[in-house]
Amino acid sequence: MLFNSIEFAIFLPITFILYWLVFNRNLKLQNAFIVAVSYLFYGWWDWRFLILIAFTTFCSYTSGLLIDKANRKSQSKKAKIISAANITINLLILGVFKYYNFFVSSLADAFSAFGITLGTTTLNIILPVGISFYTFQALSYSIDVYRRKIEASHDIIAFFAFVSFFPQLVAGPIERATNLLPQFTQKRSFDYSTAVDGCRQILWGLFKKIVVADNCATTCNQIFATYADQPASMLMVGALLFTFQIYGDFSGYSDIAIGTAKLFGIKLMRNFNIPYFSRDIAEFWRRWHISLTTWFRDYIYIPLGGSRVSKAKVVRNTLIIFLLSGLWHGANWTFVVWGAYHALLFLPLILLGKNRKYTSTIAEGKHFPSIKEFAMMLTTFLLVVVGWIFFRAETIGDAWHYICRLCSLNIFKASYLFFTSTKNFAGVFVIVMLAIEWWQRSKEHGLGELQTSLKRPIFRYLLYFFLFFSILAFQPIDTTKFLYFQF
Amino acid sequence: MRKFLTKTILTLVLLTILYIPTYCVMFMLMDAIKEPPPESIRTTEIKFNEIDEYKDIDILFVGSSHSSRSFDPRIFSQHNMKTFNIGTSSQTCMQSWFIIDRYIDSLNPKCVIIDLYPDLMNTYGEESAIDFITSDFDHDLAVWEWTKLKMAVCTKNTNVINKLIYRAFRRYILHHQNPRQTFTGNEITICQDKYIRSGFVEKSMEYYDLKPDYRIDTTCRCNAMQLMFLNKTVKLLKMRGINYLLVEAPVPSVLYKSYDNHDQYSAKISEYGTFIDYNTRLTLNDSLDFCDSHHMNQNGVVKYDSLLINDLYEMDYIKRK
Repeated sequence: MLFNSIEFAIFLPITFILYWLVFNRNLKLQNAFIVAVSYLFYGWWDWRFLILIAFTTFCSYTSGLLIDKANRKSQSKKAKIISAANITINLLILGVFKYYNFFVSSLADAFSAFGITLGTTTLNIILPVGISFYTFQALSYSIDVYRRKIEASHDIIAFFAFVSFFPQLVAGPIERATNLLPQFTQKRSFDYSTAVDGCRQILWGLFKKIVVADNCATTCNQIFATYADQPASMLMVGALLFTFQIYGDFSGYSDIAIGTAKLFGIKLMRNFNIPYFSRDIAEFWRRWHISLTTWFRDYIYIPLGGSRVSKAKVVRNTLIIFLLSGLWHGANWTFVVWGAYHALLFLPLILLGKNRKYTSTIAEGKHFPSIKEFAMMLTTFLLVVVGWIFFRAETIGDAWHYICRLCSLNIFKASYLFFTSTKNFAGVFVIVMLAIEWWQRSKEHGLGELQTSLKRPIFRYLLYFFLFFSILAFQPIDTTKFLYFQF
Repeated sequence: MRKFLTKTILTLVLLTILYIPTYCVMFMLMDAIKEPPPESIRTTEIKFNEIDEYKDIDILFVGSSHSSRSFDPRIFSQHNMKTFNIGTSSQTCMQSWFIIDRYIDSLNPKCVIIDLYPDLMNTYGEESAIDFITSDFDHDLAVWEWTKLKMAVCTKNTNVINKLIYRAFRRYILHHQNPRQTFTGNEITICQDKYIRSGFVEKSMEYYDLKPDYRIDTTCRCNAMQLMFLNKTVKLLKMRGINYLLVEAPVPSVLYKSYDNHDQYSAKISEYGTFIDYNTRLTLNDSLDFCDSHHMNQNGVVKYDSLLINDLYEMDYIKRK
């Protein structure tokens, strides 16, 4: 079920009313209801893959109990084996469904370069929606139990609710058990202001997805499909549109997910923090897909030694997490190159010890950034745009040709697509989104704490109406699915 | 909780009430400043204003532009067959069902040819629904308005519903209608196309330069809604004892080869009746027999229709006169 579908518009209010008015007297019943509606939400896409989620959840739950038991008896070796077994099972499932075909065909390609033909067999399977998200979430739990950061859950229903909680099941944020699991073991009560804030965040997320991302996608897809015939100016437009499409799409999803969770009295972690206003690449990575970045930091980078090792190892560790992050996004070399590109931009900062230079809100207390800050933001933004070309292209060759054509002299030549792109107002909506995010940059989301930013209700309602109107009136005919579902 | 629910419902109601007039006024102003739509989109209007002249036909063609640009009534009339081509731009099984259901009694066809273009089987018919909504038909207004509403609801697309609201506003508040297209004789030229009486749209181009890499690999998928409407259509035709044939019109080889699972698609469609994929029966030249990346020119149409007529005779769907 998609957040921007009529089915979800019916599903959400029914679920919300039943959750608070029928199932609120008993915590276990309320959690069981969450599991049931989450499985319905996921099964709407393909019910067969419910077995896969249930299996992943059950493995992590059982391994958590066994690790906890071994830890209590100080059998650290046994705990290590169980933890490793659980990680292996989860990664194996992920590997088969997501990476098997990619590795097999890459291996065959590598051998064919030397004139050797391998008789390989690829699998004709569908990639289960959100498999990377819920697998990582389940993995974090068993690792945390092994590290004694949390105690194993004995409440199987609460645990199933933690893994399958529908707002964040298919595209994150990738929650940690330390944050989300305790919320399912405590009595939840309805809070008016949290629910109102949740509604505002959903509205803001829908605007970013339907109005910004989908309108950008319409022209962007045409440009990328015909890039060989487009002048450099249009390739620039295409790269910029994809930059805002992926941001609007993914951060929009996260906003809807976080907002929906608030309606159910659950607080999810923030996933995006105005990343395109970053002053360097390190700051960008602290603001982009925060739940995944911190996952890699906590479960791979720090165990490898982080930055408190020799410089050679810092380089190794940085490369590992960026390459893995690229590969996490998809089984294609383009994602690996995208990860490597960001690693190359990040490495100088970490080696010079400047990777945590900018941690505060940009231009705090001021209306506009200084010229220096603006130049830094623009440079970082343009570097990120180049990276997105690799991310969006079908092959590395396509990305390279795209960039080569982008650097050609016909940068001032327009094509018919430029006029198409002006018709759907994508550029106008991008500016509106950036303006609102800049204005609200110290808040949790674009409409966060709106009563303090816009004190007079009439202005708040005018803003709601503008967003509501844009969502209904400017939705392209061919609405795209959420991009991050494929990851 | 009660306060939250009351305020949320009131806000949504207020926003919706404000939305409808704002949308209509805004798009009315935008309509006033932008260029009028190209005449080519009016073929649907012309076709459905013409349809009432036809009764007791031999063959009815339904489907997308692959139907309206493929079945030439002049070729069929050489075999003494009375036909009507009701294919319209991007028409899907959903629209075909509504049309067949509406006209089956008056047209009373002996045979129905349903063209199924794979790319449309996984859509919700939004483009075609908009085509119908923006067309003004000069007969059976109430029936058409009801059909348009049903089509819009089936698409579950806000954009389509917006168009419906705006069209109702233009027609019933502003009393504005598309100017009636006068049509005398057997054909009318619309932009680069020629509309031939009985629903055929002809484009004569002798050579088309098709780029070999214009299309990326695609997987054919049929969504549940389209299959449901196909099933309803087939049931209706069976119930009335009308022969029907499911076909896929020839497309340029580059387009056809881009489908990576066409066999599966053919097998799925065959579950609903006899299905003939004419891409496997007819070898056409991408440049000499097509006028664009999708449709045949008159050379291709003549070859295709001749083969289809032959098949209809052989399968005994139509008796030789």
